[in-house]
Formats: sequence, C-alpha cells, structure tokens
Amino acid sequence: MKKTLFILAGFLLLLGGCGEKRVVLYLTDWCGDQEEIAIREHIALFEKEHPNIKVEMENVSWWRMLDKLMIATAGGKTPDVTRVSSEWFAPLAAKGALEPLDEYFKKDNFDIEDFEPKIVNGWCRFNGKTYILPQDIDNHAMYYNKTWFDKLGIPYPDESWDYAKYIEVCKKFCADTNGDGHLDKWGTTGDPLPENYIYAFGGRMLSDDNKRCLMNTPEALAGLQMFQDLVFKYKIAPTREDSAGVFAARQFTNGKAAMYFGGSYESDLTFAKELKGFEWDAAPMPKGPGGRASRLGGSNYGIMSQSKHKKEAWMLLKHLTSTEYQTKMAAMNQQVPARRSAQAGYLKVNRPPKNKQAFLDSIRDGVIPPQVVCNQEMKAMLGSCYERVSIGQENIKDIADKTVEDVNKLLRTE
Amino acid sequence: MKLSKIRRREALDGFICISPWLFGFIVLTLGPMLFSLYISFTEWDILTTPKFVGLANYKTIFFDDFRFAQAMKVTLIYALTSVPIGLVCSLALAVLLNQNVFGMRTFRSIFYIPAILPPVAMAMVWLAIFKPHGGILNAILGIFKVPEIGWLQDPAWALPSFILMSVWGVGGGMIIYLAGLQGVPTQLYEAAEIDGASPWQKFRNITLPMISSTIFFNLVMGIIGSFQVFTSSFVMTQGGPAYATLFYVLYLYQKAFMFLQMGYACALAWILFIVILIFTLIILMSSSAWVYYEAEVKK
Repeated sequence: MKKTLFILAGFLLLLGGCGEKRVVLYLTDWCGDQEEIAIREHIALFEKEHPNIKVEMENVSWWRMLDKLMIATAGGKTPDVTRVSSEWFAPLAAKGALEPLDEYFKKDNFDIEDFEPKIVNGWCRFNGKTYILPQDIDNHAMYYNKTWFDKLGIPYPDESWDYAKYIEVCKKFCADTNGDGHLDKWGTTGDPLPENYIYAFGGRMLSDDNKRCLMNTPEALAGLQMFQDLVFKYKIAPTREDSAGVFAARQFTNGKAAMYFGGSYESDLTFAKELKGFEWDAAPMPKGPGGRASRLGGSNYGIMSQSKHKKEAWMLLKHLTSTEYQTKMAAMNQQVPARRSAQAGYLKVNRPPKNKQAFLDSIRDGVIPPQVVCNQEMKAMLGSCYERVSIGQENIKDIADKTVEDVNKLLRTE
Repeated sequence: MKLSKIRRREALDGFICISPWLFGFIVLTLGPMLFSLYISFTEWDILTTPKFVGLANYKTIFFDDFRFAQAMKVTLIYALTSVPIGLVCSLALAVLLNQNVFGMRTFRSIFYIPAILPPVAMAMVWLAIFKPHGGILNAILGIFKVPEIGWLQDPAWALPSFILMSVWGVGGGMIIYLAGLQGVPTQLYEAAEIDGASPWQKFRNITLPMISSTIFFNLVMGIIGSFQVFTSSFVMTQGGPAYATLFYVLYLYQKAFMFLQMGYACALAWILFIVILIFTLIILMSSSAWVYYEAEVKK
C-alpha cells in the first residue's frame, strides 16, 4: 500500500513538472573572464524577470565561432541567440543562418534609431534586411605613454597631428638602450592593422559595389608604403624580428613603444592587468592625406534562423542590447556602446584614459570594412599582402597588383 | 568456380568473423571516402545542398590556383628533405643508444620524449627557440659569430626551420630502429669479427641489410607523415610568411573549415591521397631491390 502511494506521489510530481513549460534558450558568446562575469549577472536578471526562461550560455573562442555556427546550422542544432562579429556577419547572413529582425522591430515599436546609424547600415543589414543589433564598437584611437612624453618634454598628441608630425615625434623615442645594435625602444608598435594607414591615406580595400579590389590605387599604395616605411625608412616601429611573439599592445604596455593604435576595450581588458609604472592617455589618430580615418569593427547579437523559441530569443536579444547593459559593459570594460543613449555612461567612467571623447569621435571618422560573403578568404589574401609588405623584400606595387588580381578572382565567385 | 559445401560454409564463417571490422570499414572508412569523392565534384558550403560542377574544382586546382602549387612545393620540399635527414639521424641515434653503457635507458627515454609530447606544446617551445632577437638558437649561434637569422619571420628560413624542428622528433623512428637492431643475431657479428671486419664493414654488411625492413617501414611512415604535417604550421606560422610554410594539409584545412569550400577541399584531399599513393608504390616497388627479409628465401 505504502509503495503504491509513493508511486502515485511520484507521478503527480512528474505531472506537475510538465505543466510548467520552461523554455531553455541557448546563447553562444566569445567573452573573456571579465566580460563573462558581467554577462552572467545580466542573464540572471533576465531569468528573474522571465521565470519560465532559462538561458544556457556557451563561451567559444572568437576564432572558432563562425565555423561553429556554420556547422551547427548545417547540423540543425544551432543556439537561439549568438554574438556576431562585424568581421563575419556577411557570410552568416548570406547563408540564411540569421533571423531577419525587421518584423520584430515593427511589432514592438522598437527604436533602432538609438543605435549608431553608421554601424547599423555598415554591418547589421544585408540585402535590405536587418539581422543583428550592435552591442559595442571596436574603434581606434592613439594611446600614448604620458610619463615618457613628460620625460622627454614633448607636448602630448592632439587633434592637430598629421602623419608627418607623428613620424617626427616617434623618432625621438627610438633608442638602443642596451647597445646590442638593435633598437629596443620605439615611437610606435608593430601595427597589426595596416588598414588604418591605408584608410588614412585615402585608400580602400574594395570599390563601393564590392566588385573590385582597390589595393593598387595610388592612395592604397601610399598607405602600404607608410606601413612599410615605419620600419624600414623611418625606423620608428619594431621589425618583424623585433616583434616576433610580442603582441603590439604588449609593446606598449611594457614601455617599449611610446604610442599604439588600439581599441577602447583594451584600456580595461588589457592595460589594467599588464600596464605598470607609467601614466597614459588616448588621443585622436593622426590625420593622413585622406583625412582622419581608422578601421571600425564591433560585436553584435542576433537570433539564429533555426531557433525554435524566437519569441523568447527576441526578448533575450533586447535584454542583451539594452541601454542598461551597454552602460554596464562600458562602466566595467570601457567598451564603446553602440547605443547613443549609453554613450554618456561611457564618458563618465572614471578610469584612464581621460580622453574618452577620442574614441567616440573615431566612430564618426571610422571606415566600415567591406562586407562580402567571401570575407574570410579575402581577409587571408589581404593579410598575406600586408605580410609581404612588412617583410620588405618585394616591390609594393607588384604585391598589390598580385593581390588585386587574386581578390578580384575571388569576388567574381560572389 | 564451384565451391564445395564445406568450403562455402568456411567462407561464410570467415565473413561472419570479420563482419565487425567489415562493418566498421564500410561505414566509417569506405563510405565517407566515396562521399568525399562525390563531394569533390561539387561546390558545397555545408549549409546549402551540394551543387554538381563536374571537374571544375580539379581544373581550378591544377590550372588556376597558385596556392595549390605553392602548398605542393612546400610539402614536397619538406618531405624530400626531412624524411632522409630524419632516417639518417634516427638510425644514427639508435646505433649509439644500442651500446651497453651505464644509464642507457635514461638516455633512450630522453631522446624519445619529444615523440610523445603534444605537438602544440612542442610548437610553443620552438617558437621561443626560433625567436629572432633573444631566442635560444640565435643566442647559441651568436657565440660562433653567426649573424642573426630571422627563422620563422624570414620567408627564406621559415621552411628550413620546420625541417630543423622535425629532426628533434626523431625519437619515434629511433625506438623502432632500436627494436630492429636488437633483433640482429649476434653470431653474425661474431663471425665477422673472426674474419677481421672493421666496425664500418660490420655496419654496412650486417646491420644495414638486417634492419632494411625497419628502414623500409620508417621510410613509408615518414613519407606519409611528412605529407600530412599540419599542427606545427597551424600553431606557429599559419602558413606565412608569404606562404613559405603553407603546408598542403594546412591549405586544405583553410579551404574546408575557414572558407567553407568543402568540395574544393575534398578535391585537394583526393589529390593528396593519389600523391601519397604514388610515393608509397614507388617505395614498395623499389623495396625488392634493397629490403631483405630473413624469412624470405632469395630466388
């Protein structure tokens, strides 16, 4: 008798469990430790507001994330919501892996205008449809070692600087302190993003219709030349041999290079941990013949088209791109918020760099990298072009011509 | 041909006995291989259905892809230099470690360790060794007044760096040679000594023929392994600088999993398969001239 009762009670419990329909949402992200704490807190708030939804987050490395999402889509087992990089938005959207959001905006009267329009138009739309919402913007300004500037009595960089001034000042920092015949102090770092020079000299990767590669135009060639001259002609940046195995940011944080073109998020996520023993700040990028220009990038969130809980996914998406969350991420990690209503919060952060406006301004000055379906392969081709230029053994025009031929062939398959 | 009842029964039993293996082979090896052969004639990005394009992938690979030519060149140079160097070094090492000296077991372990280390960890260590400024290798060469070498940063030195690195991993081959050396009958050496043979004559006329089958095995495995080098270049150079270390399998990986061109990657894989097959067949056919098996009666 007792046994039967137990079984009955068990059944009832089971039934009760079934009655309360709990939705589990899967989220993929690539955040680091510090970001993960913030996002987990924010997700907990969401779960509290929506007790019937549970969010399972999986943290994937940035490099593997596109492959993972593509393969998951092919296998029919995708996450519901995912972080999306501006670097590989186009291939993901083109293959139909993302859910278009325009209907959701209409239904909810969602204010898309609050997001930086340049970003939304730059990499959130594909073939006229909006697929993702921007979270933070990865843009560049020039970090500089204030203490070192003071020591040499050099005035801090400001918005009047152009590349001629930049080269002139950089030279003053270069030195061979241990006398081994190699420079070990430099004006600037070995730059991981030569695009910054190409843009500043008025060059672009592709034509506006994404049909032709423009790397061999006089402007782009001037940018590539500048990138090479930093090392070989002006000798103000470390050579490939000097910087082997040392990230550009670390050349700045360990006091080897006086200036560094970097993103706002590096202030907290890299510098706070590694940088010791000197004061530093940020300044606008130097002006080139093509104006003040630098590369824009950023992270976003979107809904996967195969999600079975799109209504709940949309709620989570709104939560993850809300003004509150972007303000919080800015306060914690100095990520430049993509929502204009959250940018005031970023400016209020009371940690270096003092000149946060330099980063906000660089959204205006920034250039949106081309968004093409074959983005990954094109990036590899351009990367090889930059590498050849940095080795400095071949004629730059030849390298660029070969790259243009290579990329154009690829673009024809689009 | 008609089989007797018992014969047929025996054949059936045989098939039943190997059926687990047969099943695994067909489902896990032959099936995927045939599928990949089919995919190599299509354009496929994993997400959409494969589109049949005939020989287009092969045509592009052979006539319109300088990266394929570069990858093949890099891999061939690597295979044709690292394998002979590896064979000689591991054999020499095995001969040295085959002496009866105190502490020999420890030495054998030390030389074998690189073969069991995870390749990624090994790659990280070599990155530090090859660092141009302040790296260990350049520091040692500096003592002999050798000018600094760019190693992995210099397109001319990147591939030689990898070949140099492969020598470090000869422990795997060494172990197999050691086993071979231990199997050489001592009476042959004794007889040779009585006849007054020099150590070199003993090595040339006894050791080498007696372990020729081991050399053959190491040669085949070495060729196959060196055509499939991937991890070290993936971790250390990503194929750079200027494609100097674009190994074939690395290029295949990039096409398949970074650029999602599965059809093209499958075609690359089949070409690699054929190339390895040809090399193996050449070695196999030449083996009758130089490989000696004790059990085999010479005609």
